This record gives sequence, structure tokens and C-alpha cells, in this order.
Amino acid sequence: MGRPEQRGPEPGDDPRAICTNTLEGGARAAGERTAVADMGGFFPPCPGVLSHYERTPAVLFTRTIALALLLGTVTVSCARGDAPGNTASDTASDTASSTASNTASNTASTQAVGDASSIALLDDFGAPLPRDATDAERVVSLNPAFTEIAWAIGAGARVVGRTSWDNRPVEALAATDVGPGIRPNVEAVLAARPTLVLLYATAENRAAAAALERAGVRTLALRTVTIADFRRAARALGDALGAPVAARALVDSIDATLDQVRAAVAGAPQPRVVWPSWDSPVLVVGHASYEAELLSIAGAVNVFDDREESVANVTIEEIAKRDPALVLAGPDRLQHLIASPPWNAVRAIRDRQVAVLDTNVVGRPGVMIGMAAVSIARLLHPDRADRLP
Amino acid sequence: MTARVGSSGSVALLVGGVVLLLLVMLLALGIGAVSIPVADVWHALGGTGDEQIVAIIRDLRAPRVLLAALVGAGLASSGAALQGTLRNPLAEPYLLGVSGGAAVGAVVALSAGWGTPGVVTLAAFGGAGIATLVVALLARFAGGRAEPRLLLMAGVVVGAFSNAVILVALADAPPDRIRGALWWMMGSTADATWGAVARTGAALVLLGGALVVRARDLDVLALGEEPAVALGVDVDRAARRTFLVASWLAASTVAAVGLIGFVGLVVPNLARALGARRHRPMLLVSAVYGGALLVAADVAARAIRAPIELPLGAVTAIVGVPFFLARLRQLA
Repeated sequence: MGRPEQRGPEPGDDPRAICTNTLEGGARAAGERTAVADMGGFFPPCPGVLSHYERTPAVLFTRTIALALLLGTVTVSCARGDAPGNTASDTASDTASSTASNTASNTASTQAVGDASSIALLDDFGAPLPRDATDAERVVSLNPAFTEIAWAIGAGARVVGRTSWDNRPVEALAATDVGPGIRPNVEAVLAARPTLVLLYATAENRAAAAALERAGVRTLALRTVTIADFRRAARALGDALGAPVAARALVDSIDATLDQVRAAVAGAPQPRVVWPSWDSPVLVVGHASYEAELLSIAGAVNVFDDREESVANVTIEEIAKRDPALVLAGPDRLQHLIASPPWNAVRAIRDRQVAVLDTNVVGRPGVMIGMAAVSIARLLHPDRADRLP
Repeated sequence: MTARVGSSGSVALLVGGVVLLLLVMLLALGIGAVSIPVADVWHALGGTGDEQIVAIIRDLRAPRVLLAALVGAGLASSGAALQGTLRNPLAEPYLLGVSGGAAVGAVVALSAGWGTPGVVTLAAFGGAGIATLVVALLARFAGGRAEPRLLLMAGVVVGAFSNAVILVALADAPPDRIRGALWWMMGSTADATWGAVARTGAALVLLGGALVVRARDLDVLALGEEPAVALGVDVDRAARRTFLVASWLAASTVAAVGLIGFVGLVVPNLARALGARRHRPMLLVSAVYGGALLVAADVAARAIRAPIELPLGAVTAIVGVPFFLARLRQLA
């Protein structure tokens, strides 16, 4: 029995992917999937320049208070004659001064960026997006989808560290394994001596991103829930890793594939489907997700499209009532649903009207998203297979 | 047999504890996902040597080790004070509404979408503070007479109510929030910052210091109600005040690192088993050994399966139980 992280990721790519795949396996994965899929509420949809300014004074304020309090603590430690107390005071004052200067320089650069252009140039944690590969000498990617993009745009050699969840391309596995990508071990990441760290933007990664920035490492945190998020991430990575043209070509090629799929299934009758992603609690693909977009592109109607979330918490009764013609899921999950008496209340399950998804392909909003649309269209519209790319 | 240890015995115990704590802290600085030789640790603390190692030691490990020591000390002395106040060796801060109140605060903050660490910290501290006030008021209105059992029962009831609130709040929460709440409840020093060290240190100095200064109250309370009244102590007030100060001390640690069980319950009993009798030495001995235990547990939490970190609260119990069992005979 391997540890979950090792078993994982076939999905491997982005945490979301992990989940979709590992979903077939453990409750832990459910959390992960959602962690990624549903973070919407935690972040402003599109942080403006303002949010960075909000952040900076707050940081400074905290530091100032911390320093003041710390000096008090240190005095007490010294009075007790503890050696570590003394070390703490050295460390604290140095940390404080270096952080102060870092913060100052960050603010300065943001202002410069703000002057240069009026569009939002911040990542999902409010840090300025890198505009060139200056900081990309040594990159640690804490999101398998980003690792994959880096290799797809020819910048894979810059990635010197990766998560335990990465599984492709094979070349990427040569990079140092720094452990999990959500709540990463910051020490292990720093040991890979990165100049830039790529993270998935979930609340659970905020502390790690802050710690990395304090250690002088640039971070780039992005959330990818929809296909548009993927496009944005690919372009941002293209800029940050010095391959902007390749990144645009990658996005264009995927968009071309998606268009071809749309054209191939145009006019065909659209089956009403449900895509369960977890069964306890029952979670299905909702509206605001790349999976929902794939369904629509591949010529299907998601019966839970009225649910705004990316992943909707529903009941089996509700699914039975909406009576989808087809249930889509990975092979393990489908087997489980068919064997489960409550799920047999759903007509499509009872009648074995199911379509087996290849979770390795559809499990992530990454570089294989075009192929994912093709594979779903092939399942739903076998008669149009010859028109598909 | 360690039947009675005089004040010289307590001093020896305390000095031994401080030496142990310092050794564990030094060891902790060298152990982690990246192994760093002692000499390099020393240089890094002074700011020299490899830049990345300096960052790891100064920005990550030093605050983390200090925070673990402070939290361990805070929880253990809080537990010692509560056990004295309630005259019950099974009393601990988490039994008395602190953990429940803090968790309600944190979960409410997370559900409202205020996921930033600073807000969650503040909300947890606020929740714990409110819950312990409610406990004190409940006990007061229910009894009117000094009765440790009332505080204990009020604490348990508020704790149960808080758990119910959390479950209701999480029932409909998207699984990522449930996961965030679970992470928080498992306790971890992984996100330690110098700010958290400073806040927790200040709380320990102020609230822990107050407990030590007023340790005589605890000695008198421990005699029971009648002797205490005979000695001219307002038992009701003394008990409530100690309860609140001890609970807020625990709350400040919870706000910094989440829930970490075991330390507050077991370390004071261990201090008693080691021979500390009167409350002033017992509070100090508990603090020092609690700090050492939590630093050791934190090392284990990050080293056993590095680079994955284990939940600190669980590791604390795993590290502490054998230690405790070895001393159980003396407790009998």
C-alpha cells in the first residue's frame, strides 16, 4: 500500500486533477478536489491593483506590531539568560529589516507596473505577475498542471522542483520531488533553491506563498477552474518562463481543437447528462467549471447547469428527479454507482446508460483539455467520430 | 518515591527542564525536511553562510521552534492552573469551552470567506474568549456559590454547543471549507511567523505571568472551599478569575496554531508526578516541560514522513503517552 500522495496522481496534474482521479479512491481526495474546485469564495474574482496596496500596509502594520512585541519578549528571554533568546533578537531584527526593504521594493515595482499599464497584472494572491523570465532561472512547480504547461511551451528545463503528484511528462519527473502541492513543505521547496515558485491559488497555500516571499523567492499563484482560467495561466506562465509565443501557440491550438469539436457535434441531438465527481456527499459537476464547459462543447446538456458552483452538493433523489439520459464518470466510480442500491433509483444507472471517462485525460484543466473535449464528444456522439479532430 | 520535594527539589526540576527545553530547541533547529549540520545552523542564526539555509533557519525554523515552545508552555501552565482551580486532575483548557469557542470563531471566519491567516487567528481568539466568558457567567448564575463542578459543567455544555454549531455550519459547506476547518482543528506550527511568536510570547508573559504571580490563590483553592474561606479568600472570585486568565492563555495558543490536545491535560499531571506540589513551581515546571514536549513533538511531526507533515496534536499524544505511562505509577 502506497501513501495516498504516491498513489495519486495519475491525476497528477493539478490538484484538481488529482482529485478527479483519486476521487475513485479516498475521502481525502474529495477534499482536495474541492479545495481546488470551489475556492471561488476565498478570492476576489479578478484582483485589481488596489488589492496589492491593501496588502502592503497590512503586512507592514503586522510587522511593526510583531517587532514591538518581539522586543518585549526578547527582553524577557534575555533576563532569563537564555541563549536562544539572544539569537531570537538577532534573527528578529534582521528579519524585520530585510522584510521591510523587500516590502518597500515590492511596492515600488507594483507602482511602476501600474504606471506602465492599466490592466490588472496581479496573480490570484495579489502579487505582481512576472513580465519576463528574469526570475525564472530555477522554478519549482507546485501544481502538476503548471509543470505540464512549462514542458509544453518548451520551458520544462527551468523546472527544478515538482510535487509528488506529478506524472507527466516523464522528463518532468527528473526534477526534485518536494512533496505535496497544497500546503507544501516550504523548507523542502527552498532546498531546491528556487528563484520562482508556481502555486495553485487556494487559501491553504497562502501562508506558504507568504513564507516563500519572505525568504526572497518570487511566487506566482493562479487558480484554474474554467477553460478561461487555463488560458490565462498558460499565458502568464509563458511570460514568466520566457516563452510567451509558445504559450500563445499552445492556447490557440487548444482553442482550435475545441472549435473543431463544437463544429463536429453541431446539430446533433444533445443528451442530458450528469457527471458525479464524488458520492459521499454526492457531488456533481455544476455550471462554473471546465468540466461543464467540456460537456457543452462536446454537445451535451448538464442537468445541473443551473447550479452556479463548479462542484454542486446534491442528493441522489434530485438526480433521479432530473432523470439524465446518461451518467458520465471514471470507470471505478461508475462501477461503484452501479453496485450501489440507492443509485439505482436513477434510471440511467438502472439501465446502464453510462459513459466511461478517461480520468487521465479529462481530469484536469491543462494542456490535454482539447483532447478531453474530443474524447467526451466521441463517447456522446459516436456517429460523428469521423468528423472529430 | 517522590513523595515530597522541597523547594530545592523544585529548583532542580526547573533547571533540568530549562536545560532539556534548550537542548530540544537546538536539536529542532537542525532537523527538518532539509537536514542542516549544527555548525551551519549556528552560522545561519548569525546570518552567515548559504543564503537559502539562512532563510530556512531564520524565517521558517526559528519562529516555528519558538512558537512551539511558547504554545507548549502556555497550554501546560493553563492546564495546571485549571486543574488547581477546579480541583480536578482531568480538567484541561479544551474541556472548558476554549477549543469549541475558538473553532466556532475560526469556522465562522472561514465560512464567511475571510480565509486569510490573520483574520482566522483573530476570530479564533475572539470565539474562545467569548465562550469562556459565557462559561464563567453560566457558572455564576447557575450557582452563586463557589462550586468548581459548575464551571466544569458549564464548560462541557458550552463545548458541546460549540461543536453543534460547527457541525451545522459545516453541513452545507463546500468540502474545501470542511477541509480547511479540519486542517485548522488538527493544529500545526507550519505557518509560524515572527508575528505569531510575538503575540503568543506576549500572551504568555502577561497571562502566564499573572497566574504565577497569583499562584497562592491556587494553593488556597486546592485546600477546598471551607479552609479557603477560613483563610479569607473570596473563593468564587478567585476561581473565576483564574479560570478566565488560564482559558485566555490557552485561547492565545489556539489562535496561533489551532487545536493541540494532550499537553494541557498531561503535562501538569506529569509535573505533579515529578514532585512539584505547590502551584508556583508547578506552573513553571509545567510550562518548561510543556514547551519541551511540544517542540519535540513538532520535530517528530515534520521529520517522520518528511516532506509531508503529520498533525501536531496527534503526534503530541503519540510522543507524550509513553512518557506519561512511565510516570503513571507515581500518580496512583
